Amino acid sequence: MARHAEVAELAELAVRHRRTLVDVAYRTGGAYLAQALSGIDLMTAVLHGYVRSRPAEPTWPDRDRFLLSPGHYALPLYVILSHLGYFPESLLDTFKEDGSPLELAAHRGSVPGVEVSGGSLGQVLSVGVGLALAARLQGRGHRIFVFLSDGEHDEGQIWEAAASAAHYGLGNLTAVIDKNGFQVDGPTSEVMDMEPLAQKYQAFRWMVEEVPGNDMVAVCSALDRLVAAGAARSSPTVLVGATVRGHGVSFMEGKREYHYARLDRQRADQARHELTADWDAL
Amino acid sequence: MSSLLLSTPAECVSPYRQALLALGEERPDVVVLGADLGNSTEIDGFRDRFPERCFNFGAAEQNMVGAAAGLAQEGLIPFVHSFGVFVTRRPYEQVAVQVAMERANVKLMGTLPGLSSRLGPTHQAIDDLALMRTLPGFTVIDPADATEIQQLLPAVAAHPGPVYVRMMRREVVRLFDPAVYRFRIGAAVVLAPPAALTFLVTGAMLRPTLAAAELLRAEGVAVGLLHLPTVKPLDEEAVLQAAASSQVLVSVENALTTGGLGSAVAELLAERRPTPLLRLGLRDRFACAGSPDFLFARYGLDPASLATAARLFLQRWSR
Repeated sequence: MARHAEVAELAELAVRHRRTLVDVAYRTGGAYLAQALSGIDLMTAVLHGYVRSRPAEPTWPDRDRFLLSPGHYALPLYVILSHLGYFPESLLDTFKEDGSPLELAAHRGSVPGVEVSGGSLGQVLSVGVGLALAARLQGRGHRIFVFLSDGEHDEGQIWEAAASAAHYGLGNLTAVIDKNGFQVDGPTSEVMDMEPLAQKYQAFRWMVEEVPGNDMVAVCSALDRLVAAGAARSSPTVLVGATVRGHGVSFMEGKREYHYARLDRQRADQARHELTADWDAL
Repeated sequence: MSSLLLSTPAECVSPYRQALLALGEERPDVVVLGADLGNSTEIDGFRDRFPERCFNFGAAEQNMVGAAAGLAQEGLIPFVHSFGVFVTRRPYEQVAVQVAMERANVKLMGTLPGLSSRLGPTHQAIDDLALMRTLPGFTVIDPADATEIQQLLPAVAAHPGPVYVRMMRREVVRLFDPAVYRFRIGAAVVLAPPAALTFLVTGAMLRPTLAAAELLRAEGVAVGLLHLPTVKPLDEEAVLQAAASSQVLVSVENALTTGGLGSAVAELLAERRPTPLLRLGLRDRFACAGSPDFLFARYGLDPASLATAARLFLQRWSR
């Protein structure tokens, strides 16, 4: 599948989205920011680079499906969807306000472009299996992307879904994992060590690529290989992106804090400053 | 008794297997999901005729429910099969979030409801009516016989949104005359007009309750009987009419008395028309293993026990 945005352009978009994430988190009083910053490169690559969509026609039957499993990553999804034109970017200022469609966790039907209700961890890969089976049964060529976090792999249902995707040879299904090494109670290595994650998927007969997940070049070349090979070999594919929590903002990088971040003025300014420097370096 | 009933009950072998196959012929949008219980849930006929529309998920019900939600999003109508406990109790959160919350067009078919499984409490779906009834937007159906099983399938497929059906298998009694009986989702059926004592019954308890009603009539007790194959939404008007014309009501279900038909009726009566109500079923306990007849007798759900309990309740409120 050809990418419809070049890698350099995607990297630029990811920095731009980081700035928006920090802005919205600051303006609206807080957000799950550390994982938003770890996963934004993967999400940008998939949604801007691979998913074929028509924002003006959100239920276009031949669109590729993008499913967000950890609903706590709602903000980066909203930022990207609004940038793509699914809804006005001004709506971001209402994020998690009472009555706003942009709830803290993303739910299907809240705004156009949100395809599934994530948030209760470990459930959505199964929904992706159902969508992939339906596409095959109906003879349609679209692809299903499922965005996962490493922490939610504690849930047994993920492995039920992984087994069934391989069993049914779902070459139209691609999972993308933000492996930032943290879950709510701390580092995954301390809370519940699911490594080696990539090898586990391999053992479940998926095609696996593991790359630095904040490196747009590595992410895109891996996605290119996976999408092509998955379709050719009727095998589900997974990109394990090893990422850094809070990536791009020095005081958040790799820190336990900022799972749910409330930024004061000084922190927000520092983050924006660093991200502007990133922008200039591009 | 009602002309809707056959004069003599008949046995029918595997009505669900036939009905599901017929539904598959009629509706190309129906897909069937199973969890390593193909023969036991009688989906094998459909599977052999439409293998491309039948998916075995192995013994992994949470994933099966999620996949069903995905298939439903694409306009297909998944019928999801396992034993009653394994499509309700086990994947309950997946059913709540991916099916109920999404109002997904998923049909859960729970085989061997209540005390009809011989494998004991791990396999006896006694809380399924309560669990599914409490999920917003769910329709809950507990058919009583082969005629209802055959008639409900097209209705369930045509009904938008999530549905839970308790399914009987293998030798299933035929009580209703298919020539005159018509099943409708949400509609109660008056089998005997409300009287001093009126039974409200659902599912497999219909047959023993009909027999209990005969026992009571032989003793001179005036007995009404309202059959409610749909537990949710409850046919409120029918229940209120029965309450208006009865001294006491007695609900009978092959399930716990908490959360199912008896509870639904009690909730309605408390708000609209307080009426003495005896809830018969399994009372706040897990049952042991055994044959259905043994278990129904042991837990007071055989005709003689039902009649006795109902008579004593009527006497208490007649003093």
